[in-house]
Amino acid sequence: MLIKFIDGTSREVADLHGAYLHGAYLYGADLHNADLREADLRGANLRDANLRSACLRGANLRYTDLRYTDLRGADLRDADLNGANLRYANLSGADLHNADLRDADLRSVNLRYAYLSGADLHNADLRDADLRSVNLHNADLSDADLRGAQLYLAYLRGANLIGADLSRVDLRGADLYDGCILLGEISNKPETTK
Amino acid sequence: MRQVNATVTFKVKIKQILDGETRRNIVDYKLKVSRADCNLRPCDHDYYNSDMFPSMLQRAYDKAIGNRRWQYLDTLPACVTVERGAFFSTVSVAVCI
Repeated sequence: MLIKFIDGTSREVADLHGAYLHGAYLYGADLHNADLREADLRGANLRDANLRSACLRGANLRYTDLRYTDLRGADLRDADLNGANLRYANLSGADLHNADLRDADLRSVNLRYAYLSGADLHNADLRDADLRSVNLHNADLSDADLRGAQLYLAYLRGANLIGADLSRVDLRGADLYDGCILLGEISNKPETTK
Repeated sequence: MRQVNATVTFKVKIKQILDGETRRNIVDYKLKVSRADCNLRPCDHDYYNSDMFPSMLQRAYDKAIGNRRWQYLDTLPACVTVERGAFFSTVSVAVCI
C-alpha cells in the first residue's frame, strides 16, 4: 500500500492493523483502502486525509482531528470517536455500527446513507448535518444538537432523542417507530431538501 | 503460557421480551469480540500480538457466556455484570485467557 503525503512524499505501507499512531501528524495523507483495524490514533491529525473505504474497525480515534476527511464507505464499526472533530467530513455510506461518537463535533458532516445502528451520539453536535437516508436504529441521540440537520427518510426506530434539539430539522419520511422524543424540541419550520 | 484475567466490555440496549404474560429484560450479547473490546494491553498477554489472540479471546468469551446469544437480566452468570445506563447499558464479561 502506498501512502502519499500532501508535500509530495510517499512511502510503502503494508499493513497498519493495530498500529500505534497516538498523536501522529497525518494531515492530507492518502490512506484510502488502508487497513487501520484497532489502530490507536488518539489525538492524531488526519485533517484533509483520504480514508475512503479504509477499514478502521475498533480503532481508537478519540479526540482526533478529522475535519474535511474523506471517509466515504469507511468501516468504522465499534470505533471510538469520542470527542473527535469531524466537521465537514464526508462519511456517506460509512459503517458506524456501535461506534462511540459521544461529544463528537459533527457539524455540517455528510452522513448520507451511513449505517449508525447502535451508535452512541450522546451530546454530539450535529448542526446542519446531512443525515438523509441514514440508519439510526437503536442509536442514542440524547442531548444531541441537531439544529438544521436533514433527517429526510432517516430510519430512527428505537432511537433515543430525549433532550435533543430538533429545531429546523427536516424529518420528512423519517421512521420514528418506537423512538423516544420525550423533552426533545421540534420546530415547525423544516428546511427544504435540495 | 500464563493465564490472564481480562474483562470484555461492550454497550447494548436492554430489550424486553414476553415470557408468558410477563415482560422480562434481556441482554443481547455481542457475538463477535475483538482486541478493542477487552482491557488488555500488548504487554499483558504473551499472544496479544499474535494472529491467534482474537480466536483465543472469542473462545474464552463464548465459554464465559455459556455460548448463549442472549440472557435474562435476572439470571446472569456470575462473570457477567450489567451496569444500567439511561439508554445504553454497559455489559462486562470477566474472561480468563
